[in-house]
Amino acid sequence: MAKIGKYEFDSLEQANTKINALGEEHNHTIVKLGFLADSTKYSVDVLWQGIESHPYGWATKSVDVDGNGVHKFAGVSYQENKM
Amino acid sequence: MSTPSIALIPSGYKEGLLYSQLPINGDGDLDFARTTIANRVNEQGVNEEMAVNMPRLDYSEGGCPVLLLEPSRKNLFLNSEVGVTQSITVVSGVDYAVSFSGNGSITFSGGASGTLNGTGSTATDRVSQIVTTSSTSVTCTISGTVEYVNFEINTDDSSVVVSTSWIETNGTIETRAKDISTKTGLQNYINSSEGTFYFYGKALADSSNTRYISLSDNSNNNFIQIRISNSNVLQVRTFKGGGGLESISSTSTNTLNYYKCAIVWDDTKLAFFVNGIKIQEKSVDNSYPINTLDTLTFNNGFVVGGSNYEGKVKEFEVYTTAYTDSEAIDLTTI
Repeated sequence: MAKIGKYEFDSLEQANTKINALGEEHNHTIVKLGFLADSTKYSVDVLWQGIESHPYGWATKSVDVDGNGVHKFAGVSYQENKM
Repeated sequence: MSTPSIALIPSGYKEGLLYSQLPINGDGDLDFARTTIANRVNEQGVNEEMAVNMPRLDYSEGGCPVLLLEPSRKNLFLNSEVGVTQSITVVSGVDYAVSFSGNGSITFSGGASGTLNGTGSTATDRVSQIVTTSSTSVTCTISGTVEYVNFEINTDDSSVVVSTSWIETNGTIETRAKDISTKTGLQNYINSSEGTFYFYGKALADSSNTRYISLSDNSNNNFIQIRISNSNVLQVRTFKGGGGLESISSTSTNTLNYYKCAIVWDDTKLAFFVNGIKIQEKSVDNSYPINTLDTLTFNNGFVVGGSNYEGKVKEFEVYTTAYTDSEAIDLTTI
């Protein structure tokens, strides 16, 4: 079952570094949400496929939200499937 | 003509599986994955929600259904089933695809301009337009009946060149994951030493991404690929024993229209046929050791999630013999 992670990075560049480190060989769905509202953090949501814990370096950027937050993966509840 | 060892015309499915007609024992059924729900136009011509990992047999063009294989997309338009006027936060200088069904219109202001007018009230009357943003907010003013609205972008916020199926949203942005279809363990149904691979379908759009359908050994050492290049040229590519790349291109094929193509290979040749025309034959040994080719994927065949085929599939077949020119021409004639 896929797992959802929600992350806040210091910058787009920091997010890209982590995303690029995943390589091309994956079927994860990575969604860039950008700087939400007045936040100084760059938000990224990921629907992880085939893993049960955050990849190296992602856990410290993980955040929790109420409900689904400002973005959801169609038909997949964050609260029921969060990493 | 001989009977194919694998034949699939999209018709039967269940969660995680698309049934093939041949072989009849189910060995050729395709595995299917999509990690979110998605919508399709069903046989009644209305939008229908399809569960996670459920293949989508799409009827949006009428007639027989096609297998719909789409990329991931996120829809920024909130409460998208019945459109209401709203402002959308966007990335400036990016191409978004806007689409809807209905007789009304959407007028863009702020970071975009123009009006998209609807043409009809059913799901099959969908209209679309690419909107290039010039600032970080676009207002969509709704007039009349505007339903099933997408204001969509790639999940990495890069530009899109075509609209895709409706993504339902309520109070939040929503993402539909990509469709993935593969099958391994086909060594008894693919004759590696000689064969014919037939495909009937079309691409979703001209794109700067390469897109593949592959027979392979699930590595980058051995493969036979149908490829739509990043310049939208239809090609066949083969690689054997980790080397010896062979390629044939059909530069005149418009892959936005349905096309039929066939690759024929044996120990004396590699030939490519499109829409009843022999594009080229190369005098090469294109046979593979027995049981080498065992995987069929709607991607490049060696990278998980790599260069997925994005399009509509009407049919594909694998034969264990190399077709003659006349047979291949008959097979691919539209």
